[in-house]
Amino acid sequence: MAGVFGSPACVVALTMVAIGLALPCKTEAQPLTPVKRAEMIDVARQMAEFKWVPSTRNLVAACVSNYRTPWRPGEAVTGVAYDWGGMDSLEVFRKRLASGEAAGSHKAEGSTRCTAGVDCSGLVSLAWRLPRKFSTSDIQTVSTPLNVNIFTELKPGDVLNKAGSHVVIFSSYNRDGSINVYEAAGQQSRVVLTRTRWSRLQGYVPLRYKATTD
Amino acid sequence: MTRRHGLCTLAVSILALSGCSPGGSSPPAPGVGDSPTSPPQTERAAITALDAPTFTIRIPIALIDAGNPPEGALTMRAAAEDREPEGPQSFDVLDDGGFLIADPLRERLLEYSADGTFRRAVPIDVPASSVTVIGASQVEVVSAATGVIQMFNERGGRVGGPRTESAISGAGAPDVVLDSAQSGVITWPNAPGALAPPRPELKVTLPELGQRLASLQVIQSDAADEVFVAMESTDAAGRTLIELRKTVRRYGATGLLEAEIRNIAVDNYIAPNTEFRVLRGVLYQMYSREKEVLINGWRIR
Repeated sequence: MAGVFGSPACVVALTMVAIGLALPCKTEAQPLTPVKRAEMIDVARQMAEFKWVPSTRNLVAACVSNYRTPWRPGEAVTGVAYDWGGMDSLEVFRKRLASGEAAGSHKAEGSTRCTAGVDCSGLVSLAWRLPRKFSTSDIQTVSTPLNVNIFTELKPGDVLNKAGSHVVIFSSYNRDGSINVYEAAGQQSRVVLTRTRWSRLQGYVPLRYKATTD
Repeated sequence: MTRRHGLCTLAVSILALSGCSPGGSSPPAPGVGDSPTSPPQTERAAITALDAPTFTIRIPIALIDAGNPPEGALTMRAAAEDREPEGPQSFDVLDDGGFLIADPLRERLLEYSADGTFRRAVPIDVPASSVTVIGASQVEVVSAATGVIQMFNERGGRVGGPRTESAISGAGAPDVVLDSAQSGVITWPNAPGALAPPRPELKVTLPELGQRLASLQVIQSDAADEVFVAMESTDAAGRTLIELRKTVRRYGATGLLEAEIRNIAVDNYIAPNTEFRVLRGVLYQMYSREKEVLINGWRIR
C-alpha cells in the first residue's frame, strides 16, 4: 500500500489535489458590476461622438502586414476606430493615438498590439463594464435572453447578438419601426449610431446584462 | 452613367405582367390597401402578387486579401469571429438599366451593363457606403469611414466640396408612422409654394392575422404618382430570435394597392445600406451572398 501512495504518479496526483483545494476555483464567476442603462448608453454615445484627426503615424501599423487604413492624414473622423479584437476605452484610445499607434485594424490574422480601438463585443464589454472582453460567443454568460416583444419592449443598453458574428447595443425605437443602435462597425471602420431595419438583424438574439439597474 | 431623374408615369390599371412567378393576379386580401382615398373593396382592381424575381444579375465578389482581384469583380473581406464580412453595400440603377455598385474596399465604383457585363471602374478616393446617381453624370457618395457626403463626376473627379447633408434628401420626404401592430400611416408634407394639395395619407395594413408589422419604409414616392413601400413583418411575435419576412408593395396615385412582392430574401451575407431602387416600374434589390452580389429585379408594370 505504502508503495502505491509513494509512487511518482501518486505524488503528482496528491499534489494537484492539494493545490486545487488551496487555490480558488478558476471558473468561479466574478461578481458583475451593477450598471445603469443611462451609463451604458453614455459610454456608447461618447465612443460614437468622439472626434479625432489621424496623424500620419496613426495610419501605419508596423505590427500588421499589408495594413490598410480607410483614412487620410488630417481627415476629420467621428467615432472611435474599429479595431478587431480591441477593447480600448475612450481614454486609452486617445492616449494610444497620441503615442502614435495605428488607428484601428480589420485584419483577422496576426497581432494587433500596435493598433488602437474597439470591436463590436469590445464596445459592449465597455458599456456593461465587464472585467474583460467577452466575445459574441460567451457574452451569454453575463446576460439573459429576453423573452419580450422586441419590437416594443427593448430598453436602452440591451443588446442584439449573433454569436460568432456581431453585436449591437439597442438605443431607441423610431416611429417607422426602425431602430437606433450603437455599434463598432467594421464596414464603417468606427463606432457609430446606426438607424437600421430589422432584416439586417435577422437571426440575432436579444440579451440583457444580468446586473442592469434601471 | 446616366439616369432619368424623377418617376415614370404609371397607368393605374389592372396589371398585366410578364415573367411572373406563381400567383399571377389574385384578388386582394382582406384589409389590404385600406386608404382613405381608395374605393370600397368591391371596386378594387385585382392586385398582382409576385414571389421570385423576374430576373437576377450575378456579379462576382473576390477576397481583397487574396492576391489581385479581377478588375471587374467586387471585393470583400470575409467574416471572422466577432467580425461581420465587409464589402459592397450600395448600388444604383442607370438610365439604360445598367448598375453602379460601390466597391468600398478598393475605393471605387464599378459600372455594369443591364446583363451584368463589366463596363468600367470609376476610381474615387472614398470607401463608399452609399451611392446615388444624380442626373446625367454625377453621383453622390457617402463615405463609410467618415460619413461625409461627396459628389463625383463620371470620371471620378470631385464636384464641389464635402457636405454633411445629402442633395437628394429633402423637405418633401414623407413621414412614416406605425400606428398599430398591423398597420402604418404615410403622410406627405405640403410642398412650399405648391398650389396642389399634398398627396392624401396612405394607410398600409397587414392582412394576415397573427402577423406583426415590424417596420415600414417608403422606397420611392411622388406626390402625383405611385408609391413603393417596403414592409418588414414577423409571425414570431418578436421573441428570443429575430425572424422577419419582407414585402414590397406598389400603391397607385389614388392609394389603391396594385402590386405586392412577397417573401423577398433577407438573409444577406453583407447587409446592404441601399437595398432597393425603382426605375421605370422595375423594382431592383441588391442581395449579397458569400461569393457574389445579386441584383434581383421584379417587373411590376
